[in-house]
Amino acid sequence: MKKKAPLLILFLLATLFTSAQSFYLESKIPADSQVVASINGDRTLELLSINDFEKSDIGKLFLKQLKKGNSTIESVKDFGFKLNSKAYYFHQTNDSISSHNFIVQIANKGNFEKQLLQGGKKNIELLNGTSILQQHGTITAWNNEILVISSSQLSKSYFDTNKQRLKLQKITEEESTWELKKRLKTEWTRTQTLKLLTEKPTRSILTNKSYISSKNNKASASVWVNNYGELMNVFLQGNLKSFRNLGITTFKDMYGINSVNANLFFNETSVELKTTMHVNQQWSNSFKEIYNKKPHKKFNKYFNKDNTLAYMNLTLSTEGLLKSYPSLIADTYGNIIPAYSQETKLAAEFFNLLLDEQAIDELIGGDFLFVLNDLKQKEVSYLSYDYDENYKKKEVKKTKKEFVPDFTFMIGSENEQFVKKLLRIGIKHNYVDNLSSYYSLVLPKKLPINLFVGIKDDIVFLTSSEKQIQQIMDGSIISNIGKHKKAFAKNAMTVYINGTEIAKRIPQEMYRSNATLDSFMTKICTNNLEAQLSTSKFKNNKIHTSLKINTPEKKGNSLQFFFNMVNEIVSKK
Amino acid sequence: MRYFRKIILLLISLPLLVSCFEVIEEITLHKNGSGKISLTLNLSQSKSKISSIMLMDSINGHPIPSESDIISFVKKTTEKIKNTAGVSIVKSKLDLENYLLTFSCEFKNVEALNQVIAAFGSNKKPSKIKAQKQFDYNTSTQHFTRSYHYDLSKEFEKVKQADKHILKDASFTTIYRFDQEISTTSNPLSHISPNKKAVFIKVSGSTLVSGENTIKNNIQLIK
Repeated sequence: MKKKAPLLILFLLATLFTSAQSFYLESKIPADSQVVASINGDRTLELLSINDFEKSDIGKLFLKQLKKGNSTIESVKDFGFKLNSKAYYFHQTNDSISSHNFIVQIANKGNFEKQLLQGGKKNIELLNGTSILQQHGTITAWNNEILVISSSQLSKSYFDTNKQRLKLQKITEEESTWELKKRLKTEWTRTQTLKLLTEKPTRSILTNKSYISSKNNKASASVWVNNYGELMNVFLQGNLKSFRNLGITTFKDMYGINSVNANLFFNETSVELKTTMHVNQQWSNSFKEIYNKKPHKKFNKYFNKDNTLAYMNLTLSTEGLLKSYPSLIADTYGNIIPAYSQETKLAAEFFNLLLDEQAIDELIGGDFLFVLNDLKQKEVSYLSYDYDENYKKKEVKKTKKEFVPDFTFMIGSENEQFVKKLLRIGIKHNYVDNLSSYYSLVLPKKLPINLFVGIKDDIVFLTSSEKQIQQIMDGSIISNIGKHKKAFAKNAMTVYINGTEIAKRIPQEMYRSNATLDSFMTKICTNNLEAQLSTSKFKNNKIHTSLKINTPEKKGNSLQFFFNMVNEIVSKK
Repeated sequence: MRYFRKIILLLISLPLLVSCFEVIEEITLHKNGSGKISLTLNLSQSKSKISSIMLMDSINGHPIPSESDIISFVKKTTEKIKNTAGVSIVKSKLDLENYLLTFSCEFKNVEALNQVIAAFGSNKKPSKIKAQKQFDYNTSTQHFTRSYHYDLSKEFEKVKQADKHILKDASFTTIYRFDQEISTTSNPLSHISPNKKAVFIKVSGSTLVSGENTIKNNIQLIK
């Protein structure tokens, strides 16, 4: 134990040093940044080493391409960047200007400058230990430790409405508006870039609670947006003058979303993109109503994971949606076109008056489950022509195989009587056949599929399999929800795709002739690849979304797995 | 109920990504310039997909015609051809079970034949139709020309990738039969029959539209 103590201290110090380095860069990002994105080099290199990358075919190809441009690069390390640190992008905006900034740590200034000068002689200015390169309005500045690249954009609408203020900035009478704008933009960007490199902001992004709570050190890449509505507002207002002519003054509350963040994780047996959306107060009551729905527990009785290639499950309150949607629309358009806010509110109230939301909810409750049970090949006939030696054509019947999906669609409904009445009308007009306990839809004969309808347990079933509908109606269907139970219970929406099982059903002769496709399909068929997209219920004004792809065990980590997969495909080319 | 069926059928049609169809143009040309044309549009190989999408209003942003729209188009076009000078014995056959459409008629000369082809297009100006004539036949030199005036390659580039699939397995076949033997043909894809009185060309829809292959042909007959 005693022997291990110095090692432990060394490890803790190293961790602290790395964290301090990353905080140092992060502390340079101003608190009023609207977007912050980062790539965690340290985490990524833990998962896939530089050595492994450079030895791979992709790595060799990458370096080969770089050398084509007369570069002296032998390794990605020769770029001069500190690859095992975090690199950041941040976006700042105000009423008159917005800027895009990249901030990266430098490991070897000499190497970096060597690569920078590869493309020809550049006019680099030296100012108190800081090197500055000014090119096409973009400012690149660096010292021994940090590189900052910034470019800015002036707000068109601001300078259109403040022409007089702009004129006052003229140095000479000859300076045109275009030249003046260009000069102002460059001067502002240069000042900001140098400030960023040499000073610490009075308040950095590390004082922003929303940003801090979105951070996750295990993420390989992250994006944080301070206020999605405001960002879109600046973008749309700055670019589209015509909106103002329509009386639209702001887009700020159009989306109902405040901050958004996303983190990408390469875990041992999965790759996962997690996003969180913070809904604003005005929209949150509506979201609560829409998401206020318990899952239809009886769906579980008719779900068998062993007969599922893919599914989509949705649980929303129809009543909540119908009640909230008109007022959400009225609020949105009332905010962006204030002159018509009274009219939009009245229209929303009128819409609510017309509908009996509860009755509609009883008919279509907002619970849907679509299950793709199988993909089968079916032989179908078609007409074609053969020709004799003098090219006289003769009609012949040929056959080909087509994919036919085998699926079951479940819709929650408490108003069984109404659905039955609807089916009776269908029978009267020859759209539906009654087959004792279930129904069959009359479809054109040319379709290679049949459709059956049944009603049971407050569920309307629609399936392409007669055997399935018979088993549902006589109660002999076997259920096995397995690992999907949690997703059904907790999520508002889940989309699941078993990529391997679907790929296995595609005949090899369809892709064998294409080596790249063949290699890709073989990889999918031989590894257990499943993808799942899930959206949480609405809680604490937040909606969480996760896109997760499972990767096989004992294949390193998920980054290595996908990298090796792409590498093998590239090698076959 | 119809709306409900449309949603279900959209789900069914999703896996059926690849579609095929064939167009066959057959012309029998006599020495004096008269002859017979038969045009066939065969969508039988895609009948499952077409049956599905025909229950929808549009797909990939393209409006889908109904069966009555198709019947009406066939009727109108047949009437238009019947009213063309120099054209006789106009026949049309529409098989909606197999999505097979055939037009045939006899013509007095190539001018009438060009008018028949123009009946299928949207061009109504006689001057434009004349300028874009698809066929030419010189009775004295016995030279037959099949032209093709549409350069669709740039338009094809703009077509969505999903729509390009439709042309992947499509084909355009031309079969021309003559009273006398063929001396030479300009199109390298030409297959001449052993009796030397028929020439056959088959090109894929995508290579025709991209401009890689053509159905253009200059055929010199033995006098």
